[in-house]
Amino acid sequence: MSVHTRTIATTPPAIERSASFSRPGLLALEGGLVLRGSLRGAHVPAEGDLIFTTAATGWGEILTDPSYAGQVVILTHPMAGSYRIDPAELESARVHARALVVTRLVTPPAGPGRSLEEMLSEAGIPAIEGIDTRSLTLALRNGAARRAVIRAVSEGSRRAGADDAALVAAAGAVAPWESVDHVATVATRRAHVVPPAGERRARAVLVDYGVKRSLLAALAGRGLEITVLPHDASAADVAAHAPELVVLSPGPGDPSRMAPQIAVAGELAQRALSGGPPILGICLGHQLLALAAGAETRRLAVGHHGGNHAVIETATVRVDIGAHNHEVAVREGPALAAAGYRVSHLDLNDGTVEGLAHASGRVGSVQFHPEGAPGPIDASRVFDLAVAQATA
Amino acid sequence: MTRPRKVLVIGSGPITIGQAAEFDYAGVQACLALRGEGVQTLLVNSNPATVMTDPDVGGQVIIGPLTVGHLEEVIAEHLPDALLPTLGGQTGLNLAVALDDAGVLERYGVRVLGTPLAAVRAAEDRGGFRDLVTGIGEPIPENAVVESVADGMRFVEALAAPVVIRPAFTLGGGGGGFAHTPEQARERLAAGLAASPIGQVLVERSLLGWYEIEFEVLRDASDTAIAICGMENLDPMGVHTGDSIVVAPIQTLPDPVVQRLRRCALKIVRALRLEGGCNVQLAVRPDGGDYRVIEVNPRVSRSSALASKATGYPIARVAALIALGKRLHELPNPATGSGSAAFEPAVDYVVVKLPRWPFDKFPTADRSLGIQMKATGEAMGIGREFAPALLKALRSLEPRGHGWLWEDEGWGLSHRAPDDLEAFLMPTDTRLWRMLALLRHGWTDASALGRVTGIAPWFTERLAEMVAAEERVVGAPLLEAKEAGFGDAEIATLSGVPPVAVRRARVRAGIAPAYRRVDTCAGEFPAETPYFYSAYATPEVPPPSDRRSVIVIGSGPIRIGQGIEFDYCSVRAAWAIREMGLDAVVINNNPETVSTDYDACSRLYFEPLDTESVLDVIDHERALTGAAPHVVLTFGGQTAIDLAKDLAYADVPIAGLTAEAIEVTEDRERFAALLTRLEIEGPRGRLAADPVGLRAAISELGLPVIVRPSWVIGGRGIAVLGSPDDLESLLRTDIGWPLRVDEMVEGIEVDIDVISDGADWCVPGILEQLDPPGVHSGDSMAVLPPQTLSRSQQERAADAAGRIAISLGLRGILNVQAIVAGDRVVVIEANPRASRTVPIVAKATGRDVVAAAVRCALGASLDEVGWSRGLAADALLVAVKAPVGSLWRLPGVDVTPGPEMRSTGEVLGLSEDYAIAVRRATEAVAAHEPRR
Repeated sequence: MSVHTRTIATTPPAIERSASFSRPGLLALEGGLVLRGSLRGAHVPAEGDLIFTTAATGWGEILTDPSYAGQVVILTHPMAGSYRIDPAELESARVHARALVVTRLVTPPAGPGRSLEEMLSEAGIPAIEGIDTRSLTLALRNGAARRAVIRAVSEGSRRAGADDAALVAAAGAVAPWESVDHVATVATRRAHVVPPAGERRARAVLVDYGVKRSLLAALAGRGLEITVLPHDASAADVAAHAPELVVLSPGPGDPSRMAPQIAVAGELAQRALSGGPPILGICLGHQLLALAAGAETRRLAVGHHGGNHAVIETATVRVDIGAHNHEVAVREGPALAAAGYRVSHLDLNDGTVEGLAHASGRVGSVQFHPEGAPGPIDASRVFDLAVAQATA
Repeated sequence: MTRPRKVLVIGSGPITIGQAAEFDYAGVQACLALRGEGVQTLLVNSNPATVMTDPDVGGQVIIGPLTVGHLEEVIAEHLPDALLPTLGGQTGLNLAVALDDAGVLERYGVRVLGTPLAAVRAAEDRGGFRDLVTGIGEPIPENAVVESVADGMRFVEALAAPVVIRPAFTLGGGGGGFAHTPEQARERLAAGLAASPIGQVLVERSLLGWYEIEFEVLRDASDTAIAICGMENLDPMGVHTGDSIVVAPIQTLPDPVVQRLRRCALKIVRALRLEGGCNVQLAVRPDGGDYRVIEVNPRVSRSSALASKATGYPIARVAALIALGKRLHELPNPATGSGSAAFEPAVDYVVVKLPRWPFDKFPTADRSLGIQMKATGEAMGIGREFAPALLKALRSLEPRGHGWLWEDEGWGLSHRAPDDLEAFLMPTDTRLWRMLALLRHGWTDASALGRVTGIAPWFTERLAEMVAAEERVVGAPLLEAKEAGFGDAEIATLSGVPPVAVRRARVRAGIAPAYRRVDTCAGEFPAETPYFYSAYATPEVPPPSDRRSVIVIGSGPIRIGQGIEFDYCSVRAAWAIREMGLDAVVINNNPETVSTDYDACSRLYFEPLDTESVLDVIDHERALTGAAPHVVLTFGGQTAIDLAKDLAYADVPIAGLTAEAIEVTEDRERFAALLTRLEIEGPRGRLAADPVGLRAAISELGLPVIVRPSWVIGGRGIAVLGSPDDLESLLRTDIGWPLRVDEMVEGIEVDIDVISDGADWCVPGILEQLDPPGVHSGDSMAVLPPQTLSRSQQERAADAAGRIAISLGLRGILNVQAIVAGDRVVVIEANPRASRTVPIVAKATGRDVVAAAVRCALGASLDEVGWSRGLAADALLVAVKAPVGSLWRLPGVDVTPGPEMRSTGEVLGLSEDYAIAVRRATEAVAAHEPRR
């Protein structure tokens, strides 16, 4: 199966879906590390880039967040799946993560909602259980290469380790995360409108690179009527809806390969500076705006995934704990200043650029997720400010 | 804000139920943090058995009563310009408010740091709390005060939920109760109104069965607020959180619910404009759909100590720095040393806290658990998952306590189900074991347990899994049982072999735990915290060490008879070891303490104090440093001493002490022989098999005598016979023969601590007991130096003690209890370890007794330590120690002093004048006893 063209299964494959069934499985990393565990959920092979999240809850949100497309998610908290997942917690209609790596997959008490394992089985993706996720996390932190495959232990293999070399080779052959156009696989293909919750205060256009429901809900909840446009919408397409606010959404993948979207972001920013609607970029949207301004992005040595990082808003010295989910960050450099941007938010842990503001006040963006889900929404005033600007 | 010059820190006084070592931990962190910033500290506490009251921690230390009057004297004399009120528990907080009310703070220009007292008042006062919480749109339990059934029913019908009815001004809640239906409510209202002498009842929404969640939060002056840890009580609402099993992080609630509760906690701390730490307790409906704010504690607390140990984030230290005006984002991350202190810890393990109750000492006490806390201490287990964490916490409670497999035969569960499951599972100290036994015998399942107890099914299902796993222990690979969390002792019991066989099998198979770092960030960043727990998982390489390590065995949960004094000893020992240029390694499991602060040592292993865990750490340290570590047992109370035999069996050398020496002191006959050889008088004693033997023994020994069953359990059945009448009345009771009869020497009982280097000895001070012999020394008032003994009497007593130490071959410390009567010195017992008196001797003499002991234990001579031989000259100050009890909190317990220790803590009065010292001690006690 070619990873490049593989679409995410929307119907469960015709294999075992029993919640209690598990079979021996392997997780192999391109650097040579092979870990043994048990397959849970759908017993299918999986492959992708390993990332870890430190969030201890919010598995439904994580699995369905389009930004996890192409990624195999390690849960650092050792007990996963402890509660049943309410459909209202899901961030999109589909599971986007490629697989989960867990220490223990707990069967939750009976009740409404689906168990994590049921969700995995229905989505046709596996979890590999029984992996020491802390030591795997430390290996990644210490620079282990991240491409990995998950496979069932083949029936015929008698000797433990017989398949290891082949699996490691398979991991090395996984298409690099940066090389894949993930946005095209997750973003909406047709425009649609999300009505405001309550009275409409303003009209917004959101360009969808892989938006989360929580983000839409946060905006709609503030009285925005949101027209959601596909990721390949042009600046003219956006303008055609005469929005009072433009939102560039989060999404998966490496922004530096997204030349058309960068160009659109640049054009929208230019318009914002010359009488067009103000722009709010979030996560991938933030990165696209930075690239359009001539800045560079870099892949972080260890991505931010979790709900415990603090971000400081440099102008106000306000500090917020927020939800983070990014592998890539904007490099601070002279290009930003030349284009009129200043770094508005910084991560207090590692100094990563977490937000940009244009001197005009017309373009602003944040790298983190003010909508939380999972995680805190302490910085949700980002939305308040944007909506205030849209309705000013 | 201008920087304060000298900050007054108020301690929490003696250990009582509900106020234990956590405030020593908080105070030590705060004082060290303040002094690290160049601010002077002025510390007042009446409890000498604390690390904070050593001058190298507390700065200017005043040991004296925690009363407004005394504090005003201290303020007038030492002129602090600021007060940090939130680190001394409720005691410290109440005193700060009282000082403010009395105008003392204003009079002397003392400003309050951190939390404004207005916020304290708002959180503490019932009306203020309601206004505060509802004012920010957060819910409290709805309630109404009514004087008629009709008014009551209007409230009940509008609420449409179960209520609890509490008649006003009735004792013990008579006439009140829960009502689940309107009909019940109508009945209860009528009954309650009739029961109330003023015809008034409080009707409140019942939160019975809701889950209890706590958040520990920090806020600074720039309004940055962070939640350090969310914790989940296994026992639902109705059981005091200090008596609850607590689990962190929150396991059973979905992310949106966790976030909603977290936001509520942060909103409250912001509304209080609190600068420091705060505890917010919430009740959550089991479906997660609704919640109420139950309580707000605007200070560091037992829960914040637990949260600090559970996450590795030092809440008290950061709270103290915030009180100085520091901002969270400016402070470095305390675990990684870089980044900032503004982050929320992510944990990749589970912690379980279990309470330690004193019921083993007081079998007549009411063992039900409710809103009044009854536990004296707690133990915490850290494991990768819930099961190993719980099993470790159980092993930590006390090695000889109830293990995982314990069942009370009286339950009769081996042959029948309980008649009334609900009654059987009422909240008591044994409910956990009752649930396990029910599951083990197949009388009920996880969901029924959840239904009856209100405990979240997630927990009952884990318990059921663990019970089911017992069956797989036999026959399955040993590693699986270890990964499941079972201790060697449990595996041995299940397999019918001795524990040592399990260890041997483990060693043969190379099955040893790995040690994992508690790093606050789930491995996301490199961290420096020297804080470890064991797990059967991939080894995580700890920092290399080229120094020989010395392991200090701690004393575990605080219980009556083994309290905070041993934590004081453990911490001072670790510091002395570090000063010697060696790595000080601490093993302990009590999250309240200073000794489980990873800053207090070179490496902290948060582990049970049983043979298995201690040997595992020893093996690990040996591998780490390439040399056998020294092991110091003398500072961890009896818990540590009890390990000696097993360590000797495993060929682990114990610093300064041999298992043989311990045995000699513990075996009456061998000890008597030793005394005879040394020509030291011991108590004469006889064994009486029947009344005839008893009379014969008494005629030989002469009255008075002390009699005790030879199988003494918990001090029960001990009696003093002073007259023939006493004998006759004893004979009329039900006696468990044989009895041991000891001569009761009438004289002055003394406590002597000896420091010995193996060749010479020194006695830094002697404590004279002021209560008559027969009162447990822990419950007796005592004075140092002795007031009624001559120097030569004291020297004779010291000499006897010193010679015992030398003849036992001890290097380190020995405690001797003796009675001095004229020229006679009768040695009652000797314990080859630091005792309860060590901190008192240290405070009264100003000498680091523990450092001298540990250096001698590690091979130094008294000369090298700088101590002269023999009995030291009297200190300048007279120190009077007085016990403080809190057993009035335990219904059903007889509080009359006797041979069984009953006090939970102690205070010290210090003065150059004996009478003043006595008065100070008495005042200090009065400040903590209920008014009668």
